[in-house]
Amino acid sequence: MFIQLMNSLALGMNLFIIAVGLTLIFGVLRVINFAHGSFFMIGAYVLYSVVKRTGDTALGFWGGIVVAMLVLGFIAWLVERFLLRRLYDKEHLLQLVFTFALVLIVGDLVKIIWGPLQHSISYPPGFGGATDLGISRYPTYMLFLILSGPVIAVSLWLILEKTRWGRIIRAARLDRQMLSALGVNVKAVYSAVFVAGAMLAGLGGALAAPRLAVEPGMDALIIIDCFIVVIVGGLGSLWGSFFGAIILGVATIFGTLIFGEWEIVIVYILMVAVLLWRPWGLLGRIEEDRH
Amino acid sequence: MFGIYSKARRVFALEIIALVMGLGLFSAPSMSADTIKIGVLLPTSGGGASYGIPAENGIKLAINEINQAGGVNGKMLEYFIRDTKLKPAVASAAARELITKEGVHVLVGAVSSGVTLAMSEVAKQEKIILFAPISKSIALTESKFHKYMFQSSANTNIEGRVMAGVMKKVEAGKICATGYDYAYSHDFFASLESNLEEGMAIVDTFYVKLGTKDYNALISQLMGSDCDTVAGLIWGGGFVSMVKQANPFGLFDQKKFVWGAEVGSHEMSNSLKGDYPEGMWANSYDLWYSPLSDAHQAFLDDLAELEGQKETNMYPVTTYNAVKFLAKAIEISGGTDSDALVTALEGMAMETPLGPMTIDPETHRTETGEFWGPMKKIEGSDVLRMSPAEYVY
Repeated sequence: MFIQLMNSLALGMNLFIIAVGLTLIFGVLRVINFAHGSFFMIGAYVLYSVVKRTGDTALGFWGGIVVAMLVLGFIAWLVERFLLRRLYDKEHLLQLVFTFALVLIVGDLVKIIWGPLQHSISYPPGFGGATDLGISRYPTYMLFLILSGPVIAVSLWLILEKTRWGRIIRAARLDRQMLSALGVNVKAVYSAVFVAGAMLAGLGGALAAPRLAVEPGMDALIIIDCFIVVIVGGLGSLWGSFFGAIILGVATIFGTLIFGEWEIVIVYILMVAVLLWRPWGLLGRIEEDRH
Repeated sequence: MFGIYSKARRVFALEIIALVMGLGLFSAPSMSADTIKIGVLLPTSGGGASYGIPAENGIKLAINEINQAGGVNGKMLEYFIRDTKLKPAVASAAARELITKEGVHVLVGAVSSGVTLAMSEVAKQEKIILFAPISKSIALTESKFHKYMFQSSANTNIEGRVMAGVMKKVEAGKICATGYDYAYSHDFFASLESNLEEGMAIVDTFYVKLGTKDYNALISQLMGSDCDTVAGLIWGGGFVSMVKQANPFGLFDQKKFVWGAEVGSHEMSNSLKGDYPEGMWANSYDLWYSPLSDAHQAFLDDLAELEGQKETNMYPVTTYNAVKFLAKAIEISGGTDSDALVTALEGMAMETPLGPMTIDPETHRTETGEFWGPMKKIEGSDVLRMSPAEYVY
């Protein structure tokens, strides 16, 4: 039971790290980014490339994660600056089609650059074994994931609530025109949020990589879970994603144990139930007029 | 009012025409009397690309060889490939498109039994041969059998029976079975169970959904079971993820492991390297480091040249053999009429890189073997190899 609870948390926290970027981008830009899974996949592949060159060293792994985030940040900046920015004033359907097109393009590029076969990344030195928790031994890397989720959540909360940048981002969510009238460069805010969201996807992909096969198609698997997390938690809500991810982790692990192959039904029933009860998600807000 | 209606109707009509033309319904089949056209359906994007793209190499190699030798009855072979995306609906639509638009004479594919079963319906309706060199579900040539369906994979009857033999070798005792929840795993474990010798039995079965990426619940279930040996069928990237997640728990030190679904291939062990569970019994269609004969070595050399690597992939041999069978049938029948090809294929015997293969005239299946053996560390390499590797069926 303890192990299953820990498994649920580890899965949930990994999902949170990936999904929080999606919810951040939606919260500010109001863009549903289908390509978020593609950013996750690029993060894993970039880490693979770095580790392949450096060998299984601590510097290679942790440095590779930083490189993955930087690469994603640069890609996201290019995408936002030269393409997505042109679509903010267009209808939502065009934005959806655009991000979906990115999914297809990235899918093919990944295959061209890294080939169609699966790759694998070892756990970083010191994280491959298990740690004695008194009650039971538990994989060290998963413990690290469980701890890193709240650290990232609190860090983001502090940035959003306690810094000037955070205040500007929150203001951009509420009233873009007023913010612009006050002399804030809203375009730069949007660009920064999109870059930060993509870097979080890259971080999530890189952190998930030692536990997964790095392969084409890994984007499609993760994006559905990310959408479930942000819909259950509330689109645009940081803590909504946090708790949504934990709920999905628990539903997945305990659903599999109790209902076997019917686990997926449990996850979707949960999502439908939340949407019927609170269509705006657990911690989401009812949509108000935005300017 | 009428004008608006008329304009709307004209736009609507144009949209319909564009849609129909887009679907290829009005485009005449680009039939060429000079070539024999093979329609190939494989997953070339997403997670299935690791199967589909190497499998395409086998098609290329066979067609190159045949064409360089002058073709079949003086006609060159050409192939048209479509991506199934591992989805049954996509595959059956693509199969229809290949038949109606490209005018292909035979179909080869696909990966994943659910996908091939969907294509089989199209083949049956269109009366065109579907040759399945990879999909293993016995349903393809049993409950869903029709005269245009041929299967040359190591089907679930064969693979299950061979695994039962491996279970005897490792003195399996109580067995727990795990695989994805679809036709392949269900048919396989039915075959395994019926072939197990006395003293061995499947005591627990744990199915996981296809596409699962978190295996922690399964790992706990396997660790909690009192079985002595695990019979596994999780394949592809799922196998990599499962192994990576199970290693820190020490799962592979607790029980014996016998794994089907070709996870003993070099591409799989090369992907996992030192993380591959040493001692696991696994299988593979082909092994670049284990030639069976001079003919097999010659095939491996040609494939190495095509792929640009000495350590060749496992799947090309399956599709290579499929094309060779079809080419021989076309040669014997003197044309591409489906019924004549069926007659030619029934009972056909052929020498392949992996030895002789014969198509059973009743079941339309071949007895296809695979390499089986324990995976071991090799000195000087971080990639495990099957040692000793035995070719069995």
